[in-house]
Amino acid sequence: MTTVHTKREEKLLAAFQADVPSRYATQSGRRGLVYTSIVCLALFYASAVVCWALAPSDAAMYVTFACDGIGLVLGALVLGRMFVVTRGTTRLPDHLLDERQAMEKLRAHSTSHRLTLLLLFATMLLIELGMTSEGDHSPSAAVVVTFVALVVTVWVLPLLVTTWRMPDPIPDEDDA
Amino acid sequence: MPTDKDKELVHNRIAVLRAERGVSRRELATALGVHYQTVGYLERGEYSPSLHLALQIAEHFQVPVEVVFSLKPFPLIGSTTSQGDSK
Repeated sequence: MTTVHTKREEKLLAAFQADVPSRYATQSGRRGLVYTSIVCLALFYASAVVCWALAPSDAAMYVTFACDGIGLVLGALVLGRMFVVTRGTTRLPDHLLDERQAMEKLRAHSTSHRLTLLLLFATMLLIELGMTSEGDHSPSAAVVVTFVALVVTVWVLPLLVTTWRMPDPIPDEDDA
Repeated sequence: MPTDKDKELVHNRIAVLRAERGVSRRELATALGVHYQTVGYLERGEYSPSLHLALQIAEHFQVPVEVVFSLKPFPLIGSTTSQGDSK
């Protein structure tokens, strides 16, 4: 049962009650959003790889600012749409979700958890491989940029999973 | 051979009851405290409700829960009458 406690929650709920734009009413449309956000995430990892290879240098700094900047701006646009498409399933507090949405949120978090574990192991492996070939070269900028990429990934994974899994929305009776 | 998904499928007559009572999806959703898309997914058989929600739906339509939900497909309207007539 959804119970609104504050004005802010009322506004959030109203925003997520709106109909999904027709472009994202199909599976291919929604998966297009997921692919775009994966590209944005890839930009963060690209900057991390560049930092590990070139930092400290001007080239590494410019590439990092460019990649992370584009990833941030494009990612924010895509994430905004994904919040609307998923009707805030991963964004709204639990007491504003019905039982189906709450279950979907749990599933998304459980899948994300498994993916996060894989990601952490893959990252550790890559860093270890990079360090053994380059001696003990580990620039602090690279560590920070890698950390940012991982944090952003962990933060958006549940939203990506929910968008990927979402069934087609039911058209409103007036539109059907 | 029924698949695992078929075995878990719960058939329902929410759409029929809603049409019969002239209740919109949004009205039913508001009465039940769920998102109107949840009512749509229930009608389409893409989501099986919890026992609590199933009882709430039955109570809303003032019918026993087995009138709304069944593990077997509901007979088509008129099919039982025509069988009865032929006997």
